[in-house]
Amino acid sequence: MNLQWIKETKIFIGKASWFVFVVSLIDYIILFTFNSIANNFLNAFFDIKSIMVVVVVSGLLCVLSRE
Amino acid sequence: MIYKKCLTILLWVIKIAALGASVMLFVMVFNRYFVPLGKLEVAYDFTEGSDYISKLEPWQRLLPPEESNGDWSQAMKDDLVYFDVKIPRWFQSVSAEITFQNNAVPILEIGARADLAGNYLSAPLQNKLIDSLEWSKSLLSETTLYQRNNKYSDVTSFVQQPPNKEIIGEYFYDLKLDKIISGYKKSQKETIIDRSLRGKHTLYTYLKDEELNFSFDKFDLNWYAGPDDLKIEVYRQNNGEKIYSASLEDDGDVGITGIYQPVQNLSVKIPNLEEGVYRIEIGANEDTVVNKISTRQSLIVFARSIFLIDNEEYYKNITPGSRPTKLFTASSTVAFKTSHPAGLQKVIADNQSVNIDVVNRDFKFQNNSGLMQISIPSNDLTLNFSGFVAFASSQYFNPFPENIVGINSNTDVESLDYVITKYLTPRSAGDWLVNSATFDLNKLYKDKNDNIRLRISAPLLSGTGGVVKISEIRISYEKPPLTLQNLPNKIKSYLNELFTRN
Repeated sequence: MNLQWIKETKIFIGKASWFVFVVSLIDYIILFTFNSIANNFLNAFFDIKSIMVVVVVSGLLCVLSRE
Repeated sequence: MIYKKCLTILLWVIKIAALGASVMLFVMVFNRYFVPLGKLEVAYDFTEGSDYISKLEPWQRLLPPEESNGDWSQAMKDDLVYFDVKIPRWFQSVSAEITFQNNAVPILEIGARADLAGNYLSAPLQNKLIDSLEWSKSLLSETTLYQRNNKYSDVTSFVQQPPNKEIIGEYFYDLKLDKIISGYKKSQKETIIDRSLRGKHTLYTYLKDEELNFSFDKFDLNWYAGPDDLKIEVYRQNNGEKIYSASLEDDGDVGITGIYQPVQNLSVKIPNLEEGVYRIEIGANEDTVVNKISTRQSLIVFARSIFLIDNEEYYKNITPGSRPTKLFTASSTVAFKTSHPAGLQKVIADNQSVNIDVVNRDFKFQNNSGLMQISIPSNDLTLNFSGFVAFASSQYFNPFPENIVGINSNTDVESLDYVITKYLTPRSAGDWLVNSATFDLNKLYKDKNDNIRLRISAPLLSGTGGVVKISEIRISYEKPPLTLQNLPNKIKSYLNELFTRN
């Protein structure tokens, strides 16, 4: 029973972090491209690196939660 | 089983949250970049820096930011302070709302830099002289008319038939009344003003049955980096129409060399002009000197300020010593100021001595004698005055109708009969006052980093020892909102702009 609980949790973390990883990576690519062509417009009010942190953390969780 | 179900629900929550956060992020970026509603607001409140609004400068004219009762503010102690505002995208206009406390000076204004030469478009923030009037008041749109005796029913009837004897004070309003000098005859001889004038100047002249004929000799000091162009613009005074514009380029030396290159000349000849007053704007930076003006016109006066530099500080390698200058003015006050020890001197104004014995301080002279003579032995002086100044008494004239007075910090408003203005009294916000001004971005100068320069002006502040506190600068960028009708055009022009730039 105990093992089953851990397994379910790992699957959940894997699925959730994979989803967050994909979404945040897409966000990052789109915003990075936009920022490049828009003369670093985002820098005035938003730090694009914060999305990169989400990408790295969710990617890491995704790898660690693999069987 | 229940645990697995909970995790499934939680997974959906995370998925929806992640997608929702993405959508919100894109909406925020879209809104900030394209500003579909047509208005973007940013603010600088002295607690932390802003990416759009720079700090006030120069620091020598300011006290450090301080906190009092939870409000952060910065105090200015000199007449002029500046700040830059970034223009992130195309906008039609920019509004600057200033929150301030002013217990020191009668007039507080804001200006926006209009050109490379350093000319500013100004707008009022506070005019205590007008606020103190307890006269009858009529409003029409942004125009306010104050009447000592209530003779006009509204603003329109006043503007259509203004009085020609009673005294009218104008403040950020131009009634555009024509001045005709009866008995004026054109001069047969040339008038030469052979004194060196540094920076920008405004002069007025009058003509009838003659061409406007001016010649300007210019050289560059080359004390500062960058090009030193001279721009001459001529305006018809009664309607403000620009009728001529020409430029004289830099002498070819844009470095900080201090070497004076040969004098350059710009000749202005405009035939077939109607009789009346013409305003000539000499647009120049502090590195540019007009050292000779030759003209066929006989009436020439300078407005607001004049910067005389025939002094050994400037000419030690060219001419020995300084050349004295005589000026004539009917201005009620004249303020003298020098920035160099070589400019310390005793000026004789209306047979009274004004001892200019400290640099960078305004020495004021009150004139109660009508047209008076000022003798300046060694120049290197800036003169600020409320009226007009001429280099000879025969050249002096008042370019405005005699009953029109431009209101400034020295004006005695109780001597006026009417005041007409586009100034609106600031609103109160607790202990602070708030007022705003809007500038058309097409008329402003943008530097290479897409910044515009604004200034807060408190005339005479440096002489009072007081301060003006600024608590917040709020900037609103404005443009027409995005609609379904203009959306295709906007997309087209954006793509055009994008591909042109890259």
